[in-house]
Amino acid sequence: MAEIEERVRSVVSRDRGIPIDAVTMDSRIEDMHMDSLETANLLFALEDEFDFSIPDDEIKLIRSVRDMVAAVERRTA
Amino acid sequence: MHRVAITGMGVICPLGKSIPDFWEALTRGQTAIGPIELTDSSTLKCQNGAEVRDYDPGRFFDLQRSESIDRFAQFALIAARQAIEDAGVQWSPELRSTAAVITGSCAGGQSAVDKGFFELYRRGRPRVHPLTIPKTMANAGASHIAIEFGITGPAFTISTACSSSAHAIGLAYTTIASGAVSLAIAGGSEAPFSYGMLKAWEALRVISPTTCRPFSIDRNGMILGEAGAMIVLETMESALARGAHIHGELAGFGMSSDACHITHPSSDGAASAMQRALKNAGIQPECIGYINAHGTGTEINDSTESAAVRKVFGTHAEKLALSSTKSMHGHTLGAAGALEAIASVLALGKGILPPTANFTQPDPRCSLDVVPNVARSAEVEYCLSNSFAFGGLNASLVFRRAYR
Repeated sequence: MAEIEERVRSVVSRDRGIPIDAVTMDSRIEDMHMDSLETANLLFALEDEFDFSIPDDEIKLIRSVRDMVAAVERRTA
Repeated sequence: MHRVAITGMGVICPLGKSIPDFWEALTRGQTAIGPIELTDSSTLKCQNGAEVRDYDPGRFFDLQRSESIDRFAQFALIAARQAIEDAGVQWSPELRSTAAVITGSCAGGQSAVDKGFFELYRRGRPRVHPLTIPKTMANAGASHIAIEFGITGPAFTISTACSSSAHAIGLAYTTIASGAVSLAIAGGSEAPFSYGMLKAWEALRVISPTTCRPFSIDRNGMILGEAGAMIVLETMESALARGAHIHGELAGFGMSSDACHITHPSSDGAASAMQRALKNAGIQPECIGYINAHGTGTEINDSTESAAVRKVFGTHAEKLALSSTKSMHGHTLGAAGALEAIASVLALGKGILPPTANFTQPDPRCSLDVVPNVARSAEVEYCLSNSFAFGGLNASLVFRRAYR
């Protein structure tokens, strides 16, 4: 779990160009000031990192890093 | 009608990532053809290409941008930046709103499509990268140039296979000559080295398994290349008024369609494009001292182009020089017209004709002075640059040396 969290935070850090220390479990997508294309990009990068796909009906429920970690854990368990 | 000056040039190509490097390589007859490294070529019959080696997008773009812009559009933007800086364009709100951006590309960001399709069909993923469409679209180069420089004038992309950027430059020329715009950034870019695209070219049986030997009797096909090449064109009055350095003059443009075969060229069509370019420039064939040939190195193009040159120039064909720089930088498809236009303008300005590299023995069906292997000093006032595309779409540009 700690490893998944670390990798998710790393993906967000790299995609957004922000230091990994600034990315916490509580970091929210709406606070990152991304447009819809950038959000799709970030989630695609997450899928790429963990080699899985987030179902379309779950994508719109992802609002924070915590939600991203949960999505990864559900799919890779 | 306004005269049209070339005031800026920029290039990133297999022979160099700047105009000075490009020119130096051309004059040394250096070839950039070698083993393909951008994709696994082990199952390809033809394993050689002319790639832009040691290309680090991080030198030119931040990470987010480099991942959202396909290689072909990166090349377009890099070349445009160079050309605009070279021209010393002084942007004003009015100039930004009236300048034009006209680019050419055959296949746009096809590597983004190739990668996406691999994920879909081979790896069974349910989606491709969200930016696949903006990366793939052939106009991505023009759009990114317009975005970066805040240009809100006419901006569009032409796709006419190997003549794309010659048509783009020609359209920029006619637009400026007519007075519709006063400045344009025009050229093209291409990055064709993805596995799927290479297999598609291989299936046509026009790619050489060895190297590109235009006009040689033992030529056996073309070699693909990749590049971005852009020029800044403006009215001669504007260039002179602001004291711009004038590389040369774009003096004429001719176009034609073969209307005969989807891949085989026609000497009548090619001759027609050249004749129209000369007529548009208001000069006689005897004024031409050098032709930068389309010269792909295929058996059919080179013999057809030679026949077309003889039709247009008659006995003068034996006096002019003609060379194919594709022998050195490969066939850069959508960038070819622009890259070779730059080579032509440099040849006139520097008084040196680039050679046809890799030349062995003459083919009696060609048998023109192809400046074999070694560059040659020559003072030439007018030259022609040819682009004869698949589908029979032809473009010829006449360049005139800038007066020193």
